Amino acid sequence: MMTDDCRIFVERLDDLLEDRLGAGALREVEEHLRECARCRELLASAAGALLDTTIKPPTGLIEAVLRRTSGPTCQSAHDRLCDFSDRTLGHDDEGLVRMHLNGCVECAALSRALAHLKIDLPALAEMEPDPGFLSMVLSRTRALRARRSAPIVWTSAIGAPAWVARVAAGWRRLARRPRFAWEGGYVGALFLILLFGTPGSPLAGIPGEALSLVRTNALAGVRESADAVTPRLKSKVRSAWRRTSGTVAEASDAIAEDLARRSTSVREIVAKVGTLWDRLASEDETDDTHRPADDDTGQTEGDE
Amino acid sequence: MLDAESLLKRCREGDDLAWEAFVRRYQSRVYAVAWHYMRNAEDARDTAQEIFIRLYERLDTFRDEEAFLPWMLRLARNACIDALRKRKARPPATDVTVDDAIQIPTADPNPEERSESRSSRDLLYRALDKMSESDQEILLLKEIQGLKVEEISSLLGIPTGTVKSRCNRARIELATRVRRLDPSYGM
Repeated sequence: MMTDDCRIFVERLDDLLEDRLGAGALREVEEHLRECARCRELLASAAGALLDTTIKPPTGLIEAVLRRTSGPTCQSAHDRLCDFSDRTLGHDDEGLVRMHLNGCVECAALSRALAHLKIDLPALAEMEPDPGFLSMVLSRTRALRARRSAPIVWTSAIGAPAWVARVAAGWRRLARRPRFAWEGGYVGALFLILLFGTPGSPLAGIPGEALSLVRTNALAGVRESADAVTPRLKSKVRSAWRRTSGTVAEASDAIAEDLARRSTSVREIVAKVGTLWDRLASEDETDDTHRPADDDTGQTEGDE
Repeated sequence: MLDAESLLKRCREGDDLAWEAFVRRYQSRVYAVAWHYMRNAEDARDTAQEIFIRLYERLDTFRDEEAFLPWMLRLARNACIDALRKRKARPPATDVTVDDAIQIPTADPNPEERSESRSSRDLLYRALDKMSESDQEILLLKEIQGLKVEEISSLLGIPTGTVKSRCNRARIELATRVRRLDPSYGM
């Protein structure tokens, strides 16, 4: 049962915990505590709750907060995970990633996998081929080497000096380079420009003269050819026309006759259809109503 | 032991032994690159040979100030791409199943280690097979063969920022896929 002293103690408890009690009040509180076990327990539990910083929050609190605020942060951690694994992150970023890994099982497992890959992937850099691989490569390159160092036949045949053979070998080696064609083209173009394109060169006017020569001669040549060819062409066209025009005329006459015959039949059919329509359109049935359109005898069906 | 540049210099001078030493030293690496693109042993062997022939023919094109590994990998990559084009133009007579295609040789002497390394390689290649070709290639060049970002940028003709971001994305994707195939990977 709570006594008055206990009630006074409870009122003074906050001040006691925050060290705000005066000397007199403190002495009274201490005296009461010596006698009252219940107030001693109350003081102990109140003081312990203040000092206890290891109270664990409920599971899932962080996820719930993140869901309602920034959203999950795993992608952001993934973006930094490789640099974290390579130890190239700044100090602060490293701390943030580490904090996330401490709280996220999936990301922590991914980080461990990345660390293992750093060891396992370089191990794939080398792979032993078949035992005969080396000898196959060497035999193929030996054949290549033999072709390369073979002397040019004409130099040995005519007894050319050694320097000629060396130059020839060097030339062969040069020609095999992949960029040789480009380099040759470049040098050739440069040579032509210097020879014909620079103002001070003695051959500078040659391209212009050559062009005008070609133009004049080309036109004259075309005119001469046309004059020679035209009469022959004309006579050939005339004879071809004479041969074909008769045949065309005969064929078109035949087609015209055939069309005329067919159009006569069409006119007759149209007339008959018109007669039938008139009959059908008239209100009174006559003896002719049921007679077929091409029957002009005057008998109806069933009449015997 | 001669470094790569010195070996190549001697090869250019016609030293046969230097060429043999060069082939011995780099056959595993070249074969691994070929295997990565071709994914079967026979095609990888033929392509690897072709790579060495091209290296031999283009010894003169290696400039001494150029880094050796990017130069070699550029030639190797081009040869593999040409081989893949030829293969696409002439499909194989019989279908190759996935299990047949993944014949990953390894030279570990210990049978237990051999089995373990083979299963690790199998797992990685099964995961790699599910990724896009460009992601596989960037992982091959950076994470497997160890080229620098600038070297890859020069080889593929893409900006360095793109190389870095693509590589990071590919690593995350590979790790995710590997864990899907084997949840205990990394534990």
